[in-house]
Amino acid sequence: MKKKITMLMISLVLVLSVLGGCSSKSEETSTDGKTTIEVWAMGDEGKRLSGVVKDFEAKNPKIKLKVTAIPWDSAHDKLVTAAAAKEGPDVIQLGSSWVTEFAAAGGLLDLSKYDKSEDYPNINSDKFFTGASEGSKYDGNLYSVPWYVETRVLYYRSDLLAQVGYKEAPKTQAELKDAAEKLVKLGGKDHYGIDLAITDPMYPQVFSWQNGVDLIDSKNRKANFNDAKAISSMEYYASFFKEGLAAGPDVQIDITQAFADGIKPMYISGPWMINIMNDAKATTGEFEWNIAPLPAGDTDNTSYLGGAGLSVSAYSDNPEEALTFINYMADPEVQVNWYKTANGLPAVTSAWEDPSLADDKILSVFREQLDHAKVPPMIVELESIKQNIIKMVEDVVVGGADVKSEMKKLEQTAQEILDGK
Amino acid sequence: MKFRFFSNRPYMIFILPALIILSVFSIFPIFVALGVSLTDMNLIGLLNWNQVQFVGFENYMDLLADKEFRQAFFNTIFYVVFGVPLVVVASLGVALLLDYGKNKFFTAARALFYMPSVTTSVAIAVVFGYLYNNHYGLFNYVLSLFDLPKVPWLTHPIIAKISLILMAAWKSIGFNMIIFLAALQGIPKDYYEAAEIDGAKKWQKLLYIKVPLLGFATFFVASTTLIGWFQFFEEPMIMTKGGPVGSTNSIALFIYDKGFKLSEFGYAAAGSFVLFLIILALTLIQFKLRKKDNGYN
Repeated sequence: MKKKITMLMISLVLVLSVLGGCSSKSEETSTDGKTTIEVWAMGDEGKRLSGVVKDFEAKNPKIKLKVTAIPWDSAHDKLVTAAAAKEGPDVIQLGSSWVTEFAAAGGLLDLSKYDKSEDYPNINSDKFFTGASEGSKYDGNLYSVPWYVETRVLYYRSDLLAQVGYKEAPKTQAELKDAAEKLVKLGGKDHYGIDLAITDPMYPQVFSWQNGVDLIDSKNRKANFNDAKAISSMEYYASFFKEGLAAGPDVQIDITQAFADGIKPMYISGPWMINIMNDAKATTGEFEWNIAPLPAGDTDNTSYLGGAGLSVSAYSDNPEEALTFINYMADPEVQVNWYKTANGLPAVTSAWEDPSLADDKILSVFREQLDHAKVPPMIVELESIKQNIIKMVEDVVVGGADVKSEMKKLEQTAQEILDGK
Repeated sequence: MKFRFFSNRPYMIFILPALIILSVFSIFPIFVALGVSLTDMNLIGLLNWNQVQFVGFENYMDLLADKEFRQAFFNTIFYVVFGVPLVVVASLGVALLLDYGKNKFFTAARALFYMPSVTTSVAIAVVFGYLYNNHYGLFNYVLSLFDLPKVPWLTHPIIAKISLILMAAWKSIGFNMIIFLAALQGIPKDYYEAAEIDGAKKWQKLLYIKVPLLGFATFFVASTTLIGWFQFFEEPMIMTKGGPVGSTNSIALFIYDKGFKLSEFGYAAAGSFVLFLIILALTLIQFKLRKKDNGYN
């Protein structure tokens, strides 16, 4: 009996040690002298990125590239887990808000000294759109290299707008509202002028930018919600809902359908809607659409800039090889190819000179808007302030609260968050 | 001798694996959560442990003052108060009806009722999202056939809660129905025969034999359902994200948002510990009540 138990314990120990072996770090350098670089990319980009492996490995025979596609839903959890274990990939695809979060936590390598270095000629913050470069810095240091960008423009039903006297898209905030009013009159009951989701904190931010005020001054860590211009921007935004020009959250119509039916003849969105619009026109029939840069406020027509960059993990054993890969991805030619394989708009300005992008009428609107596009403030507290903005907008639009007093309250809350209270 | 403990108690070898797994994956994390809840652990702290500070009960005090948490708490109470009785009564009702026959129709019906339980919540939530849609939804379409006004299924603060409860109840009836059915079939025939000799009618047999003898099954269903409703998460997470204006937010969703969206691990751990204590307390109360009442046996 005793012998059997001893055997049992030994086998148990063996099983456990085998299981333990699975989690230990895999070999970094394989036997053929190649260095393996692991890249984590998200969603669809992750799946398509494996397409560049061959070309990259041909140009860099000493590096082996291992691409892992991570679904967006679980990306944040996976990144946190990997960072906590101080393991994981060498190169990570990150949007600007995650750059802030992981850079502040010390999970990313400071790339400042490689900016404009001779070894990596494409890693040069002057070569990217200003907004994209801003979105790769935290606290003055470079933590990411822009990969692809996206910005939001105005999609509109050119046929319906022409009927209400707009041969061209609205050019100012005032015109935008006027056009929305006329479109509602044209459409009649249950029709709206424009789609503005109340759950997206982008809108208050963008309208304020256009009127020359930053809701969060990230340099001085100051909240500006109670600023007169911020309040008027917010009132402008809320007025669309109060006057029935934009649908509240109780209207749940898919935007493509609503746009095709003329229920929501204008909306603000990014380049991913181009194909969807083309498909909708091909299947649902007769309607004309076009895009235009956002209408301007008192100052300019700033839009929101998104997209993603590539960062090097602070725990990478091969930062130089990782940078070689990032340098490769920032090459103008590779950027153009990336647009062709995955529709990701190049973050490198010179890549836009390629005829496949420069001659495209729709894309040239995005090109124009990209010069007037900003990233949200690069501060760790952004996410919790955003939640508060969403709540305030809900209170104003659904609950009917007063904009002025809500903005005053929000400024206090946001300032407390910024001051670490 | 080292192994005396085992040779005296051979059964220990068999329960040891379960014991180890339970300790490592359930009991130990509870203590970790308790520890984390007393700190200001966030993403920065996770990467550099020396930045983590002990804050005592500050997280718990903040929770009490947090309007969002209070709202989530009362929403969860709403879910429990309406959801638990609904599930218990509905699954008992279905089980009693299905127990009346044994032919193919009843077998098919049994499978049909059980179907939602083996479907993932995510798939169900997506389908119900369409059913509840204000514009394209089947429910509002049916209402429109009778010239009834549209119902804002997921966009009205109270109706949204009810919509989520109905959906979750529909999903959990199947599993609980099986428990009740098994218990019903375990009732000895002698009782019915004795009752019939005494001239008992059908409803009398139901009320005085079946329902009381289902006491333990009811207790089991009620306590597991209660725990389940306190941890109500997937439905609001997928269908409403806690909205409109936080009116469908649950404690579990609140914890998830704080922990995994905002990376405030300390605060989220405090929230989950509060939830743990609530569930523990209620389950213990249920067990106490159960001991007093032992049915016919």
